Amino acid sequence: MAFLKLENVTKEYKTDAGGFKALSEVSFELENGEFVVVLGPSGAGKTTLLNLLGGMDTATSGRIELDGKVISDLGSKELTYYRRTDIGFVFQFYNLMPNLTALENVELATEICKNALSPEETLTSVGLASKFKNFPAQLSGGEQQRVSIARAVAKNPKILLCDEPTGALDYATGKNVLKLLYDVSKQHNKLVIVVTHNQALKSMADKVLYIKNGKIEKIVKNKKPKSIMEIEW
Amino acid sequence: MVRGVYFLSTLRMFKKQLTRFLTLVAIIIVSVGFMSGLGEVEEKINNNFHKYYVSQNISDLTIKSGGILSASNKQYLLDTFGEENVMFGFYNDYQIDDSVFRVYILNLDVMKVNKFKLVRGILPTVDQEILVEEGSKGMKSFDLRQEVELNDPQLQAILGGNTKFYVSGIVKSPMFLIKDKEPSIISGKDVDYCIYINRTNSLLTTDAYIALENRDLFNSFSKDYEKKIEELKTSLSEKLGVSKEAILSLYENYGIFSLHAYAEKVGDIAIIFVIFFLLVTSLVVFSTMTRLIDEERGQIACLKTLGYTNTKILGKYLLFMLLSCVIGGAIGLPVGIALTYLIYASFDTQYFMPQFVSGISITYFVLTLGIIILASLLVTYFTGLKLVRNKPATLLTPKAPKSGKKVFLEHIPFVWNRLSFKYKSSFRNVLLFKSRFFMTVISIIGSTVLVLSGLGLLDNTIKLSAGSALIMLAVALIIFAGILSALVIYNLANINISERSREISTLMVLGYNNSEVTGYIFREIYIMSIIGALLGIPLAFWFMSFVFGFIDFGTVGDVNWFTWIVGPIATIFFTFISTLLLRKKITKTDMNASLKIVD
Repeated sequence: MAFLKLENVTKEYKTDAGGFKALSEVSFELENGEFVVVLGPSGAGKTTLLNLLGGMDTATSGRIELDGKVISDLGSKELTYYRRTDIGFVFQFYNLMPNLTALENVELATEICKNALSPEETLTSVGLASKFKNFPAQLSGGEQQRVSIARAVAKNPKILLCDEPTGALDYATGKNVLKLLYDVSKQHNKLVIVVTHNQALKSMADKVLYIKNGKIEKIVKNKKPKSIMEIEW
Repeated sequence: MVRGVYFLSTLRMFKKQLTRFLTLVAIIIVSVGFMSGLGEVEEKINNNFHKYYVSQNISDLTIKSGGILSASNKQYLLDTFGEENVMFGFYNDYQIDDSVFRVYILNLDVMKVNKFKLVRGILPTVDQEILVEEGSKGMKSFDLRQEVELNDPQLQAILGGNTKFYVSGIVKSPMFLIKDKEPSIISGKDVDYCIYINRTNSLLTTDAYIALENRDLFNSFSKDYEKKIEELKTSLSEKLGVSKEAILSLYENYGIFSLHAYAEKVGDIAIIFVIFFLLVTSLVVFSTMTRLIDEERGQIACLKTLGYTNTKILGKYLLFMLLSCVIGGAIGLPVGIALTYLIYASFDTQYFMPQFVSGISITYFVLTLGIIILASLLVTYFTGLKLVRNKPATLLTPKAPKSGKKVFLEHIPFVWNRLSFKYKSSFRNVLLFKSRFFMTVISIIGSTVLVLSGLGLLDNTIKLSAGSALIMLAVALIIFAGILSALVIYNLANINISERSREISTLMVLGYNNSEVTGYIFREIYIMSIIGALLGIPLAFWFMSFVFGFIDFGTVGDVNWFTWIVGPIATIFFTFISTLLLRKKITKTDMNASLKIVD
């Protein structure tokens, strides 16, 4: 029994010119503790996939199952609860609350979760032990993204969804952030899904999902993923 | 082509900002409607009465010589004031049984001065027929053909022994404007009936009724008029050999004098509240526009990099502003006219009001709307200019988020550590965005003060049993101030939500449920509105003392204690309604759209 299982998932948007299928009959399975990279050009359906997995949107048809629970037919209240307990989300632009300190930003997430980890310990684990009381504006971009990751991890979710997490960061900082995400997947045994258009990341993933025109083009398994520090782009 | 696309982008801004646009329009309707409506009342009353006085040729002076006026004195008056403006006759007040009768003996066929209106019946054709003044709250009357017995020795002597009369007609004289009691010459008694008897006998010409040629001098008891009347009293008493006290003027006509005094009070109240409304409205328009331009920073940057001129970029916002003012003004004008009419008509319970002349007076309308338009266009232009003067590169990089700061409360760990972080965040936010905070709180204070003042005025008018016109005015003030207050709070809350769509969507993705998210946003609005409502109390106290002093009516002490509670509660109630209406806007926030954008 796969940890995350998608069966014939289709997402159709109504437009003036008729229906538009952002995702069409998508099926795949992923396991817990895997580090997965979703690759594809703009408009391929990556974000739609992330939205469906994250419970931010519902599929038009098909079935999504996470850890034995079907989430594709949840109502909006149940979806809120699902986002609250099962999903950790890392944003491209961090989306921290500007008026809360780093620690309080993590608490913002843990306060509403049942099995949350300690916010202090999680922030320390992402290397921000000395920045608890800093406000976002007093942190660098990389540090802000670390807070964002800590916020997602501290919820102790079932999956970590990352939308272009290095998109707003410089090369070196981006690498550090990806390493952090990889370590989270291995140390906490979490399924981490990173959506990106950066081809270079495919060699660090356990699995790479190639997505194009709303369809899964192929799924490639890496027997020996490289360390991110060895990858250059 | 470029013009077409520019037009489209303007159109889309209106569509996107529709709530804000409509709220702004509504604020201008209420504000301009109130200001122009209330402002015009005094002028409308004065103008209408001026026309009425002219048409009835009302007497400015009544000389009661006590004896028969000599031919030379009569000639002197006719020469001085003009043939058409002088009428001779006789009147006196008589106590007959339990009633006081004011009896005029005049040549009713030639009423040059104080022309009355024949309400029913006909003018007397025989000596036994008389006219009687129309009845009101304060004055009684007789029916047509009713027999009236005037048993008074003096009257009997004057009228040749006749005591029985019949009513041939009922009239409305301009000298009895008040519907309440008009005091009589007999001290401590009011006039119960007023009778007009038709005689042409020159032996009965002891009084002269004089209208001044220059009708404009009156101008609702102007200073010049007062001076003129004093001068005339002195010169006429000397010339005719009567005491000054025997020369009566409109100042002694209780009805006419009190009417204009009331109208003046309404005018005084109007001036103060028009200024206050204007301040609140300008402040709201100011903050709405600066925050709109700030929100559209990204778009402005985009247009700028494409090479659009500053004027063209700002044109959109100037149009937004101008259009809301024009639409708001266009609807506000009839609202104002209706309000003027309503207050004018409410004088009707106390006075015989001449028909409302429906001509539109727009002094206040033009003035208030003009100031709002001018102020808001200037504000929009200069706020915008400050922004577009930045290099496009600066505009394109997202605005550096305001650095979070510790607020004073954090230095009191006893309190701070007990607050949930939701409250911590709210307090920091409220205090971090100082200009936003002050503009919001000041607007809310302003609206609270207006509502409280309306309630306070109502308390005083009821306690002092003042005219129903003042009660109507107080009620109108409460209603308009209440609506304005609700709109201001709705507007500010609405803007707050737009500005924080990113935070809202982040909370949603984190799994916050609807009431947690709305609580997060609305907590701040409640904090600001409670602060505004509370600060509004002492300010309203001070403002009301000023208002009551200025209009020389009422005291703050006469304001009911529960008014001080009701006013702030109304503000908080309006906040509650606003948040209720805006709840959907928050819960409908598109999680994806907001997360992608760097604002």
